[in-house]
Amino acid sequence: MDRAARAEAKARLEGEVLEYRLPRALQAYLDESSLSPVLGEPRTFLLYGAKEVPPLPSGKNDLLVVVAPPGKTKLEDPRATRVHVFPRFKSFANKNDYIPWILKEGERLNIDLSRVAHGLFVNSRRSLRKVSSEIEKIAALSGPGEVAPELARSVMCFSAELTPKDVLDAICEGKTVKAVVLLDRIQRDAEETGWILAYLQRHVLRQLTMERLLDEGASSGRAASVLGVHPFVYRMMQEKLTGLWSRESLMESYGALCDLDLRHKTGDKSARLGLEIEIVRMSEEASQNVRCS
Amino acid sequence: MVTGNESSRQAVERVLRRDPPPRCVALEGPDYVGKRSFVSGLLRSLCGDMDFLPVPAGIDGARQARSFVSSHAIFGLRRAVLVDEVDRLGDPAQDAYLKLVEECPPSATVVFVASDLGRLLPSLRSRLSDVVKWFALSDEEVASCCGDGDPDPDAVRLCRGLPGLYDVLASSPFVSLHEVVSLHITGEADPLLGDVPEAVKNLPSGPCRERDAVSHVCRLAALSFATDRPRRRLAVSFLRYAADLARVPSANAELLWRRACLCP
Repeated sequence: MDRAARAEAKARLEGEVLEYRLPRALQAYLDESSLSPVLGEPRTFLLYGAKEVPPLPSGKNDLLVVVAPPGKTKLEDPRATRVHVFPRFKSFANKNDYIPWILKEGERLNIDLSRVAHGLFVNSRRSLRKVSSEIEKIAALSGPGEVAPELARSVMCFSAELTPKDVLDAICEGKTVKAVVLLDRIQRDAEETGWILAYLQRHVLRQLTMERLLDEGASSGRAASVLGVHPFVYRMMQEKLTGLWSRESLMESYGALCDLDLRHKTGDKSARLGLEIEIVRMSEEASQNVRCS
Repeated sequence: MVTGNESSRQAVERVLRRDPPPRCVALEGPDYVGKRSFVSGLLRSLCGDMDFLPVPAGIDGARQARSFVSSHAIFGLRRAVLVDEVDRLGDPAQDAYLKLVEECPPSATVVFVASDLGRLLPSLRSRLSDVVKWFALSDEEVASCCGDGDPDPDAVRLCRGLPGLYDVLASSPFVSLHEVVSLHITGEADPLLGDVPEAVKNLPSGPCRERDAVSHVCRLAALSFATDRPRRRLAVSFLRYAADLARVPSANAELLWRRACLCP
């Protein structure tokens, strides 16, 4: 915040900059600011630690920059022409299962991710699929040993591009409107019906397999092994999807998706509409089961 | 080396050696019985390499063929064009070949190879001056054209008269594929947790012999249960799998396999 305040002051390019640490220097500020500048030159007053905005300086070209003290969440004044908000950084260390998992994944691939684990976590928005693919990219490019932040930064995907994963997430959350909107947005730039169908087919197959394993009383470890995912990923992402769709519904979905895929690949344009219908159906059912549970 | 279908081969030779040469000839019969191999060899010997052109199926092939037949023969007296799998072309490509056949000069011959001429446009089918039918071979004929060494009896049995598939079917994944399909139809294999057969897992996308071989083997295995009432549903599911695999070359074989096993 201090750096931002000084940058604001420097942006004026001319005039003197006066800094005061409140509350000790409040009186000195009041004395100085009440005096008009001799030749009308602009002045910038920087006040650090102010719990409220004091009287403005008297010069008409003066600028007052007020920096709130640590712990003060709001500092408002209707006279302010610009307000900068600095959100509090979350503590990543406490009760964060993701960082240890990222480090373990790195160990598995013989790379040390200790310097980039937090960056991966922040960038991934808790999407383990995305983290996993970023870690694989980093492992492919770097040799064994510690991974430098510069290397990680160069390969991490910072784009907000939509993928069928986003549509699938919306379906699993039971948010039909969101799923359909995301579907339209993905399809806006290019025909991605095949890509989305492939994702959904694999998801439904995974769901069927998981339901079957749970019926047999298989442990999380065994289920994760059969599905080909890390047990942590299974616990955090797959297990919470159980019960969203009935076995019959999943079978019906799988058959429908396979038919749509064949229709799409033979040039039948109605496959796109069929895909939307199937997405709505799955999402509505997930929504009902989410509400029931 | 092409064996079997002796009468068909003689008929093709008789037709193509005719004077004046026929404008448009078709060979019809199951895939992988040697139609294309035989007629390619025959046309090369009749016309020479410079006056014979096998064109890729499609509108581009039709353009190449038109350009080729419109010019004079270099060494011989005529030119010949061979178009394979003409029955798998879409309507626009078949229209292009219709134009080729109608405007073909008297000194040129267009030879079509197809598995089912019923899929051709009626207008194109009506332009065929001669149609020679080919048939699947007997097991002895398949065994005789398998080259040096003892033929693999399992592969010969699986070929079912299609010698062009022998090399592919002689590998072990295909022999076990037949057994796996049978196990699924009889309910002895797990449809969800059972492994996908090796032959299906490594199947490339796009038209290829391996894909046709998988389709052929699955169809064979399913047909053996066609009259078994309790298992008919699963048998039909695998028949549909075989048909989809052949009909849509870009379809994912593994995902369709699971559908066949689950039979939703």
